[in-house]
Amino acid sequence: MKNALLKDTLREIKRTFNRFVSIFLIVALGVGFFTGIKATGPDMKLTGHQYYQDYQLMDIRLVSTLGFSEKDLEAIRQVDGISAVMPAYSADALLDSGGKSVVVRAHSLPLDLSADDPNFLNQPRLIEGRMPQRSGECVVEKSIYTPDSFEIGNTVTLHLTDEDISDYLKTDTYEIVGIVESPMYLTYDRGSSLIGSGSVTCYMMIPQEDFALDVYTDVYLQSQWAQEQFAYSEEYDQAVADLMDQLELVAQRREPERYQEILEEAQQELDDAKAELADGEATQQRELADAQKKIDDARQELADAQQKLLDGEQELADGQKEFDEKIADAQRELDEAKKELEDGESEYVAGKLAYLEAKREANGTISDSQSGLELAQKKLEELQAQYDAAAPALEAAKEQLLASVDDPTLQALISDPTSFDEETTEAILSSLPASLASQLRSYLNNAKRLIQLEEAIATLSAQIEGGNQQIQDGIYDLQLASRELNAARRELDRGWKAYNEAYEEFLTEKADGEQELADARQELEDGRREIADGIQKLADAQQEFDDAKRDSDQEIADAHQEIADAEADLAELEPPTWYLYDRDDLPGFSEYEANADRIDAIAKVFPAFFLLVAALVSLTTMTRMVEEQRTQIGTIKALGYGKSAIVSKFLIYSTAASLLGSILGLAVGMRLFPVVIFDAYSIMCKLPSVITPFRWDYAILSTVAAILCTGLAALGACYKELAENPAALMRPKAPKAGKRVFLERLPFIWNRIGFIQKVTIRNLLRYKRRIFMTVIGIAGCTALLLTGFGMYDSVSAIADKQFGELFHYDFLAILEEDLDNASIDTLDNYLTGMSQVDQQVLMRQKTIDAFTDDKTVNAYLMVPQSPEEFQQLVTLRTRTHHEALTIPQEGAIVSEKLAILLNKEVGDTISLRDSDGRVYEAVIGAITENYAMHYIYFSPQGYEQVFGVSPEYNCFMGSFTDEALNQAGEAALTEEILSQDGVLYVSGIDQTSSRFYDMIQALQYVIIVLIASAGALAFVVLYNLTNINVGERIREIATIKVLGFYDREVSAYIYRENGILAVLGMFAGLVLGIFLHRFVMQTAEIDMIMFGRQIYTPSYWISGALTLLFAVLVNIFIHFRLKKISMVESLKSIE
Amino acid sequence: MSSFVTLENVYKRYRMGEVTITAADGVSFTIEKGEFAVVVGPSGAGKTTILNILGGMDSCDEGKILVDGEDISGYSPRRLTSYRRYDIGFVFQFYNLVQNLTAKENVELASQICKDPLDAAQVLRQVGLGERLNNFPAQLSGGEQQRVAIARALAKRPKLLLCDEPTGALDYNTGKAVLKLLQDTCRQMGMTVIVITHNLAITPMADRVIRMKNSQVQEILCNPAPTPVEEIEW
Repeated sequence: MKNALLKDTLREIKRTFNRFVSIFLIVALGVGFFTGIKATGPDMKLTGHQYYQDYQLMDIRLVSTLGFSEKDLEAIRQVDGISAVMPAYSADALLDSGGKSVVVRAHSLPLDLSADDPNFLNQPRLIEGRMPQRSGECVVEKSIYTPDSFEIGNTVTLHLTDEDISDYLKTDTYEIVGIVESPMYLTYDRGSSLIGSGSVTCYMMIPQEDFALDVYTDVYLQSQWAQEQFAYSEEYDQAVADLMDQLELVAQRREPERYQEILEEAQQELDDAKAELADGEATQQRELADAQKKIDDARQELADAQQKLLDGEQELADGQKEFDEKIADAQRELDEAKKELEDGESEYVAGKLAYLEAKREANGTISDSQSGLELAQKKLEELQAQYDAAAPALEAAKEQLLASVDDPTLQALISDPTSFDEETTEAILSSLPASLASQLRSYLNNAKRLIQLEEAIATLSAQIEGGNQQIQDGIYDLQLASRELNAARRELDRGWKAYNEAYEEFLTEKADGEQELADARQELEDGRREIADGIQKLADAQQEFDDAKRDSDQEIADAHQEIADAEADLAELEPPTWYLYDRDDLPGFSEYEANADRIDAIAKVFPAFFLLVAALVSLTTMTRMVEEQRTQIGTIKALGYGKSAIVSKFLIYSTAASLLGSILGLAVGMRLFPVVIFDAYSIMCKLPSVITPFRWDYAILSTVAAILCTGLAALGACYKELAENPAALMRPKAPKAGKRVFLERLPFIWNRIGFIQKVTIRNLLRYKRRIFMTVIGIAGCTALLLTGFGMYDSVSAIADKQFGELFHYDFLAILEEDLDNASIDTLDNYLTGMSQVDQQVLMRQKTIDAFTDDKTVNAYLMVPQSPEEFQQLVTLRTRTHHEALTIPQEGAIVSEKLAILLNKEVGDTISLRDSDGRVYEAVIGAITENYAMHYIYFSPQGYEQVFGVSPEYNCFMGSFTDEALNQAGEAALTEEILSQDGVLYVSGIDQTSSRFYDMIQALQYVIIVLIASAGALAFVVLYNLTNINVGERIREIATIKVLGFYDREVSAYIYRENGILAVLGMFAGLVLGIFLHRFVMQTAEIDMIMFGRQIYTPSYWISGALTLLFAVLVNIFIHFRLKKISMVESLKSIE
Repeated sequence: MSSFVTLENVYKRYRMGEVTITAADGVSFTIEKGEFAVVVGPSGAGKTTILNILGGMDSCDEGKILVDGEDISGYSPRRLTSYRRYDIGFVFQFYNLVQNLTAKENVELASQICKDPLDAAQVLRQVGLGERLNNFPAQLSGGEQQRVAIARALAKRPKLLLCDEPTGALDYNTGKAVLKLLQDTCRQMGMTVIVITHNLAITPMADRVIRMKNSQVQEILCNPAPTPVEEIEW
């Protein structure tokens, strides 16, 4: 390649960068989408495979009705081709969460095996926290379905309703130490359970040592050969199937052996138990006798003690009495003494009072006397003074008189005036001369007065003397009395002292006595308490004895019963059955594969079509480019360059654009699409991040396709150009002649069309190829969009129609095998009586193979006892016209997909094979609309005709009332039904439908990815095609601009054509889309499911509207481009 | 009284990367109404630039352009479009007919956006194509195509007919016929016609000759007695 030419190529890219980017983007989109979508399915499978490898998912799981013994394990280990064996336990338990019980499946986790141990199968994937290290620790899963309590650090407690959890687990409380995921559970389906609501809500893993079971419940195996295969390959399936065949042989051998072993072991155990029981009985008798004796002894002892106590009590009573008497006497004595004393005291007091009274009186008298005495004294002294004053005068008078008178009588009278009485005196006097008489009389009077004074003084003196004497006497008397009182006081005091001493003594003595008595009483009390204790003890002992006797009697009775039961059980014991499961039996495992397959199926057509559209548009673009470069090709050719050199420029251009586009597409698409789609599936699957290896096959395929398309287009166009000679090439290509269009020959139409419309029509019809390409390109995108939306519709239809229009039942209650009619009637009555149950129908349900020479399909055989009632729970109708179907008396109704798969029509005979390999033939009476799974419906009569026996009914199908569903919810209702005797398990339709809805939701996400991609492609394609259109017509556009068309008019001029092309493309696309959709759906469909066949009206509208929206957007872009077109530049030269 | 067309100190510079090319370097001239003016000069003299600016296809950087009293130098792109639409008729060297339209339709393409256009068929008959109304450009000879182009320009009844090398792609006789058509149009319809050419031989037929070189006007000659086209030889 010459340097200048290379430069030219590079410049060309720069100059036409828009176009380069267009091709680049379209190729990137096409290749990216193609490889991305194609790779998604394989990537999902690879991710799964890697997951299984990394965490050593088992290939085969063995379950036995009687568990597995070491001998069983030994037998299994000897099978050739097994690379790993892990015996394990699992148990279902209930866990209370948020007010309701959920079913938890506990798996055993061997703590002694390290992660690289090849025999450590089904390893959990630790998400958070750590693995359990000791008993009582667990790891759990965590999702929106798991209980809120599933957080690291919490403890959970497991329980069972009917049984004791300790039969299964050594401890029922576990601390959550880690959050895990497990390859055993890819989706959120956790399988069914025989307890609780009938379906497992979540799983947990606990140390193996915490299981209390004697035998392993599960044995997990890996096949050496299968492990070397890709998990989703046929080789793998074959390897597993081969190993299963061998295990089947082991099972056949071990089942009876194990049975025998168990029988022998059980018999041995029974014998042992019987012997033990006999021993136990003897021991019981002996021990009871001993105990009885002990109790009797104790009772005797107690009686003695009681007697003693009685004696003591008597003694005490006597002592008390004596003491009381003594005390009473002493008390009495004391009281008497006290009385006396008190009398003395009162006497004394009276005396004292009298004394005091006397004293006070005496004192009064004395003081009165004294004051009288003092008065008397004073009078006395007065009288004395008077006397003393009168006496001398009188003496004198006397002497005078005496001297004067000599008469003795008179003398006597004068010496003693008193010597005569008054009469005599008078008489004397009267006899005397008057003077003398008067003198004498006066004297006599004086003398008389003096005598009177003398007498008064004497009297007074005597009186004073007497008063004083009296006072003295009084004082003396008082003193005497006081002394007497004091003596009495002293005596009293002495008496009190003596009394007090005596009383003191009495008290002491009494206290001592009382103490003594109290002590005695206490002693007695103690004795009494002791006896009471003894009685209690004795009673306890008796109780204990009785209890022990009863317990041991019970135990013995139980043991007898147990032995009897065990003997009965043993008699009933059936040989074990081994069940062999492969990975497909893991909940969700095959769903995951089915999902990957579904993506694969979608990837069959859709991306190819996508790539096709992309390639077509790139091709158009390249062709156009070569045509544009005509003059230059001529010039270069004229300069003497060879064809190859000229072609190489375009090849380089196209290859560069496609290769770069491919690289971008591969780099982004092969990662983006699997990741996005895988992400969408994370709503129903839990796996590690998707592995997106570079897939060379798809990469090379798509890249080569892209490069070939653009390259060949360039080559083809070049060769067409190069065929002409340089001179002709350098001349402008004769513009393509205008042509009359067909319409012009119809003047009545043509003349009515406006000028602009005429121009548009003529322009449209001028470049037929361009129009063709544009319409096809747009149609392709619209078709992709419509297909996308149609897929959405079809997929949604499965759930919407299946669970919205066809299935109306809410639960399916599977009955235990071989249930007698009475039990079934009881259940039927129970369901009828259950107000929440709207309706129920007894049915026979089983799976059966429908087959032709080259196809076998597993279907559900349904035989309702009452077809009329059944048809209220399941709508049977034709898909196309919705004609109601009734289950015929003869023949069967089969679901549509089954008929399609077997290529059967109404009236054909369908071959059925049951699990025992017997083959039956039935005539197809009708084909019913159905989207998920396959069903064959028989009436009881029809069943009998085909199978020769009347149907053994084994399940109830029924519906709940709406209120009950709203109030209690399905889980609670199914749980209630499951709790009935004879019900094996109950599946609610929500469980089934939610799984479908999840799958559909994931698929819807995928479809949204497809739609978005188709939308992007549509946009790029429209942009590119419009760009080409504008590029081709740049001169024309410049011309009309020069003519004075406004920008708006210029744009409208182009839009009109683009718009028509877009609308044409859109309509073509809608038609094409119908076919593409049908094709994609048929290809994408898997056996189990029939997608809806219809595209709903809104999808047409949306697809069309989106196309037009993109067209409008593109036109907005183009408007600015048109605005920028320079008239001067565009018209400068002809080219 | 000012002239019908007046250019005063018109500058136009193109920036090509780091190089600035001055395509019009202070161009000034006037043309009177009804004149047949020829702008002549060698390639790259700036003739087309002047024509583009005058025709509203391009704008000048500096200077004043008066057409019928209106200064178009400051027009917005939209007003320039209106100006082209109603006031200007263009004739190009390579005709620039829409290939997909017949002769009549090409004329109609222009006339249908005008206010008071001439009848398309009439104009085509005037330019001597009465027989070829419904022919597509590819079915016409160069001269005929150029006549269609002229008819398309005339149908708009423009104030100014601008012709960029109208004979450049035509042979001698055809070229002459086209020039005659232009001159007749000018004379008979009183149309102001400006023709750009590098062919000096044409200048005698013009009322006014503007000679350009190196993006500048060198000389403006007024020709009081233009020679009829038939008498011109080259």
